[in-house]
Parts: sequence; structure tokens; C-alpha cells
Amino acid sequence: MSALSGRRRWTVGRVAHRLAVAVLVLWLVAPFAWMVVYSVYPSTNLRATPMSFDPGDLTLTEYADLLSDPSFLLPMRNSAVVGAATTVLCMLLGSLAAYSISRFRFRGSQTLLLSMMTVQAIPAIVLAVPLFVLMRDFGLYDTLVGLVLTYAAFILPLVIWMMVSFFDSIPVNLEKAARIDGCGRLGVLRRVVLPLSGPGFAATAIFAFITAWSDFFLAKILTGPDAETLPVRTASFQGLFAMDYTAAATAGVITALPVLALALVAQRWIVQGITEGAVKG
Amino acid sequence: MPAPHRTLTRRALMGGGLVLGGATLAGCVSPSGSSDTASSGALEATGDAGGEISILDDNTNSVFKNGLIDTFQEQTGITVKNYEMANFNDLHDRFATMFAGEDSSYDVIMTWAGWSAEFGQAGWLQEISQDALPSDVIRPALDAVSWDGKVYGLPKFASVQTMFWNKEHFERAGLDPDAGPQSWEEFVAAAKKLTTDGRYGYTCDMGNPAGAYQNFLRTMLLCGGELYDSDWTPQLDSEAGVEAMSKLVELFRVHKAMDPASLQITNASDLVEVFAQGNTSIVFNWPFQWSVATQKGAKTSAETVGNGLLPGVNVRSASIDGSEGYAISRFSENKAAAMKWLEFASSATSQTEIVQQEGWFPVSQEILQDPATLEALPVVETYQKSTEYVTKRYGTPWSNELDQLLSVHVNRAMNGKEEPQEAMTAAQQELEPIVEKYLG
Repeated sequence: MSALSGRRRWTVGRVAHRLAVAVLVLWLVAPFAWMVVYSVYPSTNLRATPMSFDPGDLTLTEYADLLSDPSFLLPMRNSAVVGAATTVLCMLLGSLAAYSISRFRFRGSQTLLLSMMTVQAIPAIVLAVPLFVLMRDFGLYDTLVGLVLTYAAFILPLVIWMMVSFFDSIPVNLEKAARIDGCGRLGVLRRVVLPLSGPGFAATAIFAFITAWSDFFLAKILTGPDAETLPVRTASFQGLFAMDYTAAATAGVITALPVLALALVAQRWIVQGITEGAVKG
Repeated sequence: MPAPHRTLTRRALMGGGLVLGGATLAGCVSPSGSSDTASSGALEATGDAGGEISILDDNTNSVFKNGLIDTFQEQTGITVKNYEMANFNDLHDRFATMFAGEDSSYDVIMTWAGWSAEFGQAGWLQEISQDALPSDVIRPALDAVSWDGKVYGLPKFASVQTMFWNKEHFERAGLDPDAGPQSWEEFVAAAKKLTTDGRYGYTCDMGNPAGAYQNFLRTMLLCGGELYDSDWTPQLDSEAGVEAMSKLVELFRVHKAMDPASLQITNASDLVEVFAQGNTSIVFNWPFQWSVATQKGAKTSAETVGNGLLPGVNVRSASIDGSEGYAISRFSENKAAAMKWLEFASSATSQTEIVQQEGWFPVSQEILQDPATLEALPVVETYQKSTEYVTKRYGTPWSNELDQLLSVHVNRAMNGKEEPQEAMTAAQQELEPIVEKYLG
């Protein structure tokens, strides 16, 4: 009797748990799914009462139009370049800085680490004008280089923080062994530490890419027509008197797809990386 | 893209950051204006001008990039080095950043009543002398480029809301298709009769803060009210304010003649579509409603769309203004040439294109009186009549904050969560300290 009751409790609990997960997934996926629906149906179908989801009306015209429109392709290319360059720069500098902080004991290392995070607490809006003036005076306004440097300044501290925790979790004895076998400091980093912190490295790189790829506010302030990025271009489908929902939804899907693909491909690394970084070895 | 140029100073960096940070977080710029950046005097009429200018516009008008810039260059000898069209919603932050950084990259910027007030009060727009205003410009259209008695630009088109109705729906409902409702009572009666066949008689766009403000303000003006008294004391809880809120609530909740989608529709173009697809019978909308409702693909046509003055509650009519204009940046290094652009945009040459190609109302007297204008845009006739009645927008430096707070109470009232009186009293109490903050 009690075994049966226990089993029933277990079953009810399991069903409730799965239901809760299903609701949560639905809640998270619904906005994206709705955006996809908006991108493949003519807006007249969705404004009709009741809405019409006739499969015969499905169309990819907006995708074809946007992906052949130079004014959309340029921001797309800009976002890809800025995202990739920011990621490479941040991972290169961030790994070296994080390794130094993790392995070398020097005066002020913890203060340095903390102060980097303090900078993160300053709202971007407060830095908008100084950044604009800096970019303008160095001739970097509306350039991809200016945007990459700006993003790197914002993302690098977080990259360092994340990488420090990954490096801390790697036993120092492995490095000592490599040193005994003749590896120099950089050799140890390249041959031992980085391969062992691969999942963490991947998770951090993806985080850096997504942050740079999806930024809207700084790109809006620091770019004009030449270095315009995808989020800024997507927002332009809303005007003062009009909103092109289909184009905006299509651009939204196109913007989200690379991030989604990256997350799916690197899912295992991301989870592994996050859990590895959570505990010190 | 022009190469921005100014000298980098620590003061500019620190000051700019603080100004923009604080200002944008508050929703606007410098509440009391900044004396150190105040305009150094009104711009007088310009004689000869030359050189280059750069213009930052929104994406409402295409006629400039599609030929008018070339005409301007030929007429004046001034080179338009850069003409950039940007999304309206991005412009506010870009302008605020550029102005705070004392940037001279753009000589001319697009503006409307709210920004003219906000940036004008901050001292970031060049004031224009009354003597420098072209005599052909329709004076009420200057509202979009003025604040506190000062003019900061020239209008590029006029936009006033009028009433559009579907004549076929009227005929089927036994209403006179050629005469729209002349008063609010007639309008409510018609909207109730037209609410049939799974369709609502009336639809509006109050789904976002700006829309809620516009719909409320329009009704308040139709009730014969004023949003502020002569000292800028808000009048939301006045008799007219409460009556306006009550009329909207009754239309929706008592008469059930307003489409519930009205509370979700966030912009005029959606409303335009609802009407053009025959999904509602009456809308109060901007002039471009006409061109969309009569174009290919619409279920309405020039023969089936009626247009007239908005029906008043305590006055015959009134309306709200949505005009846009151009202003000159205080930091422009070629203000004389910039002024030439402003004059050109409001001139008969440009206005003809704006009316005939895009369906906006003209700001030039000559074009307004031209029979060709009426032929191209029949609703101009209603616009001419509307000039006999009050048309306001009340663009202020606190416009964003007002939109936000008012929309909360308008929505609560529309959903029955607050009584109209209660909603207006609360909105009044919230608005008073905001106005005080700006005007001191």
C-alpha cells in the first residue's frame, strides 16, 4: 500500500515536473516562434479577424528580399566582422590576463580583478557621450574598428573573470610537470592550460560573440550608415508612423539564427564550461 | 559620412557623460536648460550662402533623396555633403549624444514639437529670428519647430488628424454616406450602428504611450479643453479632461463601439491598414490614411472613403498636430547654408513633391491654395477647414514622461480599473511635479 502510494507520488511528481518544464519551455520559445510565424505569413493574414494561418499563404519572400538587399547585407557583414573580431581580441587578451591573475601572485591582483567588475557596474548610457567624443576625435566614429574596441572594453573584464575561474580549476601540478618537461610559460598555457579549459574557453568565447553581435545601444550611438549593425538595422523597420512587422520579424529571425546555431553546436561545451568554472580544483 | 570634428577635452568627456546619462535616464535633457550652452542669439535672414552641409533626417520622406537634394544644390550652389535617413526611434539618443558632445557633424536635423521643445530648451538648437521666417510658411505649422515663444526651425510638412469613414459601410447601415458625423453624439450613434457583421464602428491606436496621449489629447481638445493653462499648469483633472476620459471609456465599455484592438494597436500605419482593409468603419487619422486607403490592394477607394472634420463634443471640431520640420544644430559651422536648406524644404518646390508624392499636407501657402494640390490630395480641403479650429500637440521637454504616466491611467480607465475622475486626478498629481522640475 505504502509502496503503491510512494509510486503514485513519484508519478504525480514526475508529471508535475514535466508539465512545469513544458510550460517554461513554451514560455521561453513562444516569442521566437511568434516571430518566425510573422516572418513567413503576409501581415494581412495576421491582422485579419480571425487570423489566417492558411499553409497556402506561407512565403519566404521577405527572407529573399532582405538577403538580396545591400542595405541589409552590409549591416549583416558588419555584425559578423565586429562579433568575430571582438571575440578574437577578447579571448586573446583575456586568456593571457586571466592566466597571469590566476597563476602569478602580485600586489593588487585581487583589487585589479574587483575594479574591473566595478567598471561593469557603470551604465552604458553614462559612458555614451565620452565614448562618442573619443571615437570622433580618434577618427573611429562609424567604423568597425571603433565598435570592436568599444565592445572589447566592455566585454574583456567579464572574459577575464570567467577565464580566471576556469584556470583556477586546473591543477597547478600539471603545469609544473610540463615545466619540468621543458615547456615555457606560454607553452604551458598553449599546450596544457588552454586545452584543459577548452569547454570554458568555448563558453566564454560564445558569450563574447553573442554580447557583441546583439548589442543595440552602443551601436546606435557610435555608428552611422557605414558601420551600422544588424540590431540597429532591424530596429529601423519601425518608423514614426509605420512599422513593417514582416520585415522586422524576418530580420529578427536572421539576427537570432547565428546565436541559436552557436548555442546548439556548443551546447555541451557551454554546460560543461559553466559547471567547471563553478568549482575550484 | 562626414568626419566629425571637435577638440577632445576632459570637460567635454565628463560633462557630456553626466549630462546625457542623467538626461536620458530621466527621459529628457536638461530640465531647466543649460546656461553655458544657451543659443547665442537668433539667426537672422541669410543672404548669400555656400559651402557644404550635412543633414540627419528621419525616414518619413523619400522625396529629398529622390531628387530634391539635386534641385537644392542646383538652385543654391550649396553642396549636401551627406544626407542620412535614420530610424525615427534611434534619432533622439543620437541627437542627445551629438549635442552633448558639441558635435558639428550635422548642420541640419529633423525635428518635431517634442524635440524642438526638449533640445531648444537645452540650448542645442539655433533660434531663428521671426524676421527670417519665409512669408509663405503657414504660421500654425511653426508649432512643430517652436517652444516657449522661440522658433527653432522650419516645418517640412503639416500633419493634422481628420476623420475618415467607409461610405459603403455607412450606406449599408442606413447612414448618409456623403456626410460624416458632425458632432460627438452623431459619431457615437453612427459607430454603434456600424458595429455589426463582426466589425467595430470605430478603431483607434492607443496601444503605446504616445498613442494613448494623442487619443486622449484629441478628445480633450474636442471637449473644448486645454492641456495646460497659460502658466503651464496641467489641466488633466479639469472638467474637460475628465469629460474626455469619460467619453473614451463610454465609447469602449458602454457603447461597445470601439474595437478592443484599439488598446493594442501601436501606430498609425496599423490603423491605416485596418481601415483600408474594410475592418472598421471610422478612424481619426493622419493624412497619409488617404493615399493608403485609395491605393491598389486596398478594399476602399477614392469613391468609398469619406473625409471630414473630427466631430466635437463641446466644440464643432479640433485636432492634434503631427507635423515635422528641420532645425539647425547650434554647433553647425555653416548656419547660413543650413538655413537655406530649411527655406528650401518649406518652399513651394519641395512642398509640391511632398504633397503629390507622399500625401502630407503642405506648409506653403502657395501650394495650399494651388488647385493642383486639391486634385492630388482631396483631403487638403478638410485640412483647410481644420485651420479654423484648435489644433495642438503641446510638445514639451517633458513629453516622454507625460506620455508614459498618462498612458498608465488611460489604460486603467479604459479597462475599468480606475474611474475617469480618479485616473485624471492621479495623472494630474504625477504630472505637476514633473512640470515643476522643468520650469522651476
